Formats: sequence, C-alpha cells, structure tokens
Amino acid sequence: MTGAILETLRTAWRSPSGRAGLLVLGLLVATAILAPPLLPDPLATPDPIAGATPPALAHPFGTDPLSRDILARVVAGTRVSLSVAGLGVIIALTTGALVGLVAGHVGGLTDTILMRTVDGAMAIPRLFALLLLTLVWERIPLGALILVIGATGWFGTSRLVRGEVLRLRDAGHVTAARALGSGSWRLITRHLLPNTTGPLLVAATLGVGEVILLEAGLSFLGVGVQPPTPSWGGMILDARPVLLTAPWASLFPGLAIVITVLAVNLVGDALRAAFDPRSA
Amino acid sequence: MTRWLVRRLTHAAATFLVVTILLFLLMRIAPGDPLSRLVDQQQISADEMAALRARFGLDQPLGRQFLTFVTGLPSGNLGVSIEHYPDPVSTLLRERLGPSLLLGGVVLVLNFTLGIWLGVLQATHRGSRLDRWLTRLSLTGYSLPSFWLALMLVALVSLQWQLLPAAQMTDPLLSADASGWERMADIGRHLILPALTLSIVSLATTMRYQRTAMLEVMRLDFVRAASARGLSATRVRWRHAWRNALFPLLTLLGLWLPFLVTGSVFVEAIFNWPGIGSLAAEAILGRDYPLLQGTAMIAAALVLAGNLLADLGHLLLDPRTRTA
Repeated sequence: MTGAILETLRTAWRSPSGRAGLLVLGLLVATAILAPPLLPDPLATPDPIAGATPPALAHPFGTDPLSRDILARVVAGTRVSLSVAGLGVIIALTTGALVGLVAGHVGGLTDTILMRTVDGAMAIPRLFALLLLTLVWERIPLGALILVIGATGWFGTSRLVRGEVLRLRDAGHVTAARALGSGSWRLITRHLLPNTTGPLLVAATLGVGEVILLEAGLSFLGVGVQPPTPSWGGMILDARPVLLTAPWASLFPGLAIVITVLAVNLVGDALRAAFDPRSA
Repeated sequence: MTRWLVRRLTHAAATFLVVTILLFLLMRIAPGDPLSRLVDQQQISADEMAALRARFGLDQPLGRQFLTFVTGLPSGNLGVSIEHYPDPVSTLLRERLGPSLLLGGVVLVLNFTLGIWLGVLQATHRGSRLDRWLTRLSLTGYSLPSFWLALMLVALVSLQWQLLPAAQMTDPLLSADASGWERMADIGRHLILPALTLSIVSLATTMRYQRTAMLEVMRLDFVRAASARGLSATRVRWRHAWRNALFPLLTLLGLWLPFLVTGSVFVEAIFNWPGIGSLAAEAILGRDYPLLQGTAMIAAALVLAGNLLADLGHLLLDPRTRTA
C-alpha cells in the first residue's frame, strides 16, 4: 500500500500541474503544522469593541468582527479542513473497498442486497444525505462529522472495487493462487486488493477536493464544524453580516478553500491523465 | 426493446423503493420523532400532543408507519412541514418549483451552449496553449465554493457598484401597473448573478465531458476520411465529428435533471431566490426534518428519472444498443 502511494505521488509529480498541486499542498500542510505557535491564538478576542480591522502589519489578513486574527484562524481552519477531509475520505475508502470486496467475492444474495442498497444510496444527492444526517445532532461533534462524511462517500468506491474484483476473479494469477491453495483472505489481500489501488487512489484524491467543498458548505450552513472551532466555511458565515464593511473577513477564508481544493484537483487531474492517457 | 424497457423500469422502481427505505430510516435516527420539534416550537400540551401523534400515525409500530409513508407517496403525500405547520410538504415544494426551473433552465442553456463550444474548441486544439488554459480556468471554477463566489459577486456587483440586485427574484417596489416587458426585465436583472455563479462552478463538467467525447470520435477513421475528401475543417468538426460526440452529453443531461428542479441549496439561499434549494436551506435552519426529507425525496426521484431518460435517449439515438 505504501509502495502504491509513493508510486502515485511520483506519477503526479511527473506532470507540471500535478507538481504545482503537490507543492502547494505540501506548503499548506507544513504551514498548518508549523505556523500556529508563531501566530496569535485563533480564539482570542483581544479587543471586541474595535471590531473588524483591515489587513495591517500586526494582522496580515485583518481581524474579524470579534477582533480575532484572521490569518491565525485561516491556518487553524486548514488543520480542521484537511483532517476532516483526509479522515473522511479514508473512512469512505475503507468502507467502500470492504463492501466491494465482500460483494464481489461472496456474490449471490449478499452481492444483490449490497449493490441494490448502493444503487439506492447513490440516487440521493450527497448534500441532502449529509444534511439529513448532520441534523440528527443539535451541535454535531467533529468526530461525528467525519463519520457522517465517510458514511456518505463510499458508494462509488464499492462499485469500483466490486467491478475490479469481478474482472480479476478469473484472471490467471488469481486462478493460479487459488489452485495453490490460497484461502479467501490471502486471495483478497495479496491478489485482489493490490490491483485496485491505482483507480482507488485517483478516486480518493478527487474525493478529498469534493469533501473540502462539502465541509465548507456544511459549516457555512451552520451544520458542519461548530464554533468556536475555526473552519473556513464557518468564518465566511460569521463574516456575512459585514460583507461590505469588512470584505477581508470573508475574502481570505474563501481564497484558502479555492487554493486548497484547486491544488488537490490539479493532483487528481494529473493522476487521472496518467491512468487514462487517451483523454489527456 | 420492450423487454429492455420493462427490465429498466423494474430496476428503477426497485431502486426507488430502496431510496424510500433509506430516507425513512434516516428520518428515524433523529432523536425523538418529527413532532417533538414541533412541540418545542409551538408549546402544545401533552393531551394535544398525544392526539397529534395519533393523527400522524406516530403511535403505530414502525412497519405500519413505513407502509403509510410509502402508500402516501403515489398521491404526492410527503408529510407535514414542522416550520410551516400545518402546510403539507408537497404544497410548499410546488410553490417553489417555478423559480427553480427558471434559474436551473437558464444555467442549463448557458452550460450546454458555452460548455459544448469550449469543449469542442479544446478538443480540436488539443495540447495547445488555449487547451491548457481553458483546462486550468475550468478547473479553477470547479474548485470554487459556490456560496463564497456568490457572496463575492454580491459584495462587488450589488453592494459596491450597485449594478444588479443582491437578492430575491423581483423588485418589491416595482409598481403594480408595470407592463409585462418591465416585469420580465426585472426578473432578468435578478437572474444574472445567481445564473452566473452557478454557470461558473458547473461549466467545467460540461467542458470536460464534451472534450473527452470529441477526442474519442476524432480518432475514428470516418473523421479522417471526411477530412481526406477535402471537406472544410468546420464541416468535419461539426457535421461529422460533433454529432457523434453527443452521446456522453445525454448522460450529462440526465445528471442535470435533478438540479434543474431542486436548484442549488447554497446559491438560492444566498440570493434569496424563492426556489426549492432555498426552501431546503430554510428547512435546515428551522430543523424542519419532513420538509428536508421531502426535498431529498424529490431530488432522488429525479436522479433516477434522469438516468432512465438518458438510457432511453441512447436507445432511441443509437440502434446498436437496442439488441442489448
């Protein structure tokens, strides 16, 4: 698996736009990890009466209506967004791979039940499914948000993996392994799963971009990351009443979303082009 | 062909049943029942509450409740809104349908004219600087959060420059005896910003579909043959290649159908556009579970209808699929 990830990174690095995306992402992750100790406390409200102040040397991105430093909050938001998206996609991918493997490998009634459920679940637009799920909580905890994002993102993956398993089931190397007496578990982990990692990682990369946008949207609607935890979507929601008088309060978190999602999509696009050269 | 149709319809019906079960279960995970939120808001006594429970069938076992829910669907019964109690969900949805259709329709037309043209342009200039920049631009549009783009446009165009209205579909100050043209112009002015926002964030998908489809076709022998016969590049491009690159767009049209009706939750909410999308946003604020469920139900039904129509379109346009 680690080998497959490294190989994928190498593939993305080979195209100029993929390299640009990886560099920007690396920079963002480094900032999110290293910068917070150097920045003001993202939750501190040193001077609430002063309200929102425009960008200046002390506060490069300005402050929000509660006098909180926007740069510090955007950086803290990077942590939140990237962790939610990363963990959410990992959960979705694992669930999808598991369901796909079971459906494809076991077959029969299990396959029918699982795949009909997936058909139905895929017909519900993801945003609506997320909204219905997040409303279960009065104030959704971060862990639950990640679970909910993972729970609504695995349907496509399960179809993909099931298709690959069905395709590979009668492939020469799998038949050979079976003839040599490999059990189900060994067949799955050693012969089926490694062959599906390529398309899975492309789907995962593009999934991260989608999830960052979804999380920002949910937080903007007030049902995602809950205050006071800083999130890009939540910051834009807070800044909405002062849109005209303090535009910087919504400009910078929005730019952070665009840059991050664009970087992720550039990497995903480079990977897709590498896996499907005819459409490049 | 008939057998195919029957099989396809059965599959769609089965999938819709699964959707209903899933949405019904989703609603039941919420703590308490749909009415407990109503009680929070409207201060109802315990006796009245019990009467209401009985009226909405919430005192019945879960299986019976599901049966009532499903049997109500064909007649369009989606339950009663909590926020707008005692209005039924279906009435609320019907009221908001027109504006969503208008906005979605305009975006769809923009998308399919501009998106197709740009996609074809990219395919015929594959690998050129134009192709690369169009890809980058569309990818940027695709990476924009629609709610943020909408806010930025409002801040700049409506608040700063005061060029276009920031919200609603009509000007409340428009005099009652305004002519039909004035009314249309008024709606048009309100339409520009939301339509622009949605087009920018969605154009990339159409462009990519069209570019890929066009590249697939342009590789084929008959296109080369047409060029070899000395036909003009424009004629080959549009009359020969493009016509055959339309199939994937049919799939795309199927994907767009739900959006046409339910609109965009974010953009409609920000522009206060009185469509189904903003109704869903209001339902979230009011924690109006039945209303949100009704919206999701419509959206899911349209997703299935869109898939079905796209398949049917393929069948009618491409005789080769009929044997399958």
